[in-house]
Amino acid sequence: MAASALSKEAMHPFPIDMYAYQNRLRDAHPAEKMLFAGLTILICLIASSPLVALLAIGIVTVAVVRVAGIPLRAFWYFVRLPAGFILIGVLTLAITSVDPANPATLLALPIGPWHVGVMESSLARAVQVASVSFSCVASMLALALTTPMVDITDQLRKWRVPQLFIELMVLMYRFIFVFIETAQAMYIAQNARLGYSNWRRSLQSVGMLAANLYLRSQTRASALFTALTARGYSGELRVLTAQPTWSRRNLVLIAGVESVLLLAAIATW
Amino acid sequence: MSSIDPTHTHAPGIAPSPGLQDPEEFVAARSNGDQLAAREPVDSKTDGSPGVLAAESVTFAYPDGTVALHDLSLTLPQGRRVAILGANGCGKTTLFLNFNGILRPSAGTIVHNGEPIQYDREALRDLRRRVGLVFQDPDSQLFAASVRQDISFGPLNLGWSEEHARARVEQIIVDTNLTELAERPTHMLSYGQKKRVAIAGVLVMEPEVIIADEPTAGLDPETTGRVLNLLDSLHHAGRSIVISTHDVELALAWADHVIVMHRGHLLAEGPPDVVLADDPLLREAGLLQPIVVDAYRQFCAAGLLPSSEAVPRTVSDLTALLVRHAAPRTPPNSPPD
Repeated sequence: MAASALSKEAMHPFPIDMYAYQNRLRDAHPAEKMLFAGLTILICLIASSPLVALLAIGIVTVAVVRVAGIPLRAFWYFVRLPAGFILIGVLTLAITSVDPANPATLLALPIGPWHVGVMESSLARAVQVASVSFSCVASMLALALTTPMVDITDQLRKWRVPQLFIELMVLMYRFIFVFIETAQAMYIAQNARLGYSNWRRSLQSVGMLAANLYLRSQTRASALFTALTARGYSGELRVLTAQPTWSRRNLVLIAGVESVLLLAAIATW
Repeated sequence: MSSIDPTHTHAPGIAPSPGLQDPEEFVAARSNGDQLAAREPVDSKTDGSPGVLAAESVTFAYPDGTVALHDLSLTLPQGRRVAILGANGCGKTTLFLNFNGILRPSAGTIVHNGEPIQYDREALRDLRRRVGLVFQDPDSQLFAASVRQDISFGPLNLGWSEEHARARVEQIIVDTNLTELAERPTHMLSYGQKKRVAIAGVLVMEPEVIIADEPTAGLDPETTGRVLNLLDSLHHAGRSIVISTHDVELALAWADHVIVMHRGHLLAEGPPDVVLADDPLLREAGLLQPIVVDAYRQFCAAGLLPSSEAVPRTVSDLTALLVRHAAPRTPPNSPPD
């Protein structure tokens, strides 16, 4: 069956999901993991200090690799994914118009009557933003790699996050995979008929794929609505949530680690 | 004569292969005919009883003007295994959506347990609990992130208490052998697994009748066996089961009652060994005569069997017939007179 073969293929672009279901923290209370990620992000953002951010990255890495048992290589692979965005973003912070006479100017390039370059303060700002960004990315990933989406939405339900928000999350998450499977099946079908034999054909084929994908997703949405209606859907996607147990040990550990981070933040204030 | 080995004469639509683990029971039941033979003879006529669901002069037209059902009247008998046969686009799915109250006939009525169905919110909720619909494409039915959550969707819509819903969901997971998959995300399941979860998601609502749209389409023989076993066990629990299919072999061996539809019309209904032995009718419906029936006819034509016998429903039924009729000619160890 093509569909089942494709669903395995479709897992490849999302190994995050695979780790989320197969790590040593899989059965820990999702709120603990959300608390850990959330507090770490909060402290890093408030402290806005490269040192605190680096410490946080270290703590998160240990948690992901040593505690959850996710390979370091995999973790770094995901942390590096948004690196391009972050670096381009902070480049514009580092490079400003400078006064070459100012002793704080590290680098100055004359462009016409102006000078463009890097100043101590702009570099510091760039390093700060980059390190804080990476620490937040790492914390978010620690959550994503250890907690399946279903646990996160369950927990959000318990925290009474608006239903609409959660339903959108659930449906988007489900349809990412349906979408990928559909797109992949179409791509293979096009490719089999030499749809990507040259640049021109490739552009045409991608265009058709995108248009078709839109139509398909419309059909999918109405089929889903019909199927949900058949099961008594009346405007609310309610499902049973799991009942995980809290771990005293984890809570103590989180409290300890976050206190260290908080102390570091106060020290670097 | 009696050397025909049933295991070598399987119809292509059934194609059980030896060495399967779980569906062996199903395969065995089909190839030796024990279960089929043991079944009490069912009178396929509905005896004027209203049946669990009925369509009375139902016409249905889609908004684009396509008329999918033309003045259709048929009855789904209570507690039976019904197969609805017909070519693609003959209106099977449209009929199912009418039975579940999702579509409303343009003319005519849908009757449930003798009463015309009502389309107010409460009545529809009750109808959808009693009439469970399993869709052909499980991907359009499964929406939740995990198997257990998806199964729990229906019960919570019925307004059951959380404890009751939780208990039912766990029970169904056990009953349908989904324990190992319960925590899995739905997108990591194979097509056949998705199909089983889709059935469980309907079953958990405790419907009186389960309507499955092409439950075996696209499934390998092993998974087909599992799905049919599951449907059979639901039938044994007293439910009416309705499936749509193109598979005439499956309908002949499995169903108690068959309905043949063609372009939104009812072409025939009745016992499978009568309806599915009517070659001109099947051709008109865009179907073919089951291979067992074809073989039986050819044996009759060749003088190997008298045509007075009831049409066999499985390869083993046919073999039994041949053995029975071959025996008197060459009596083994006949006592000397």
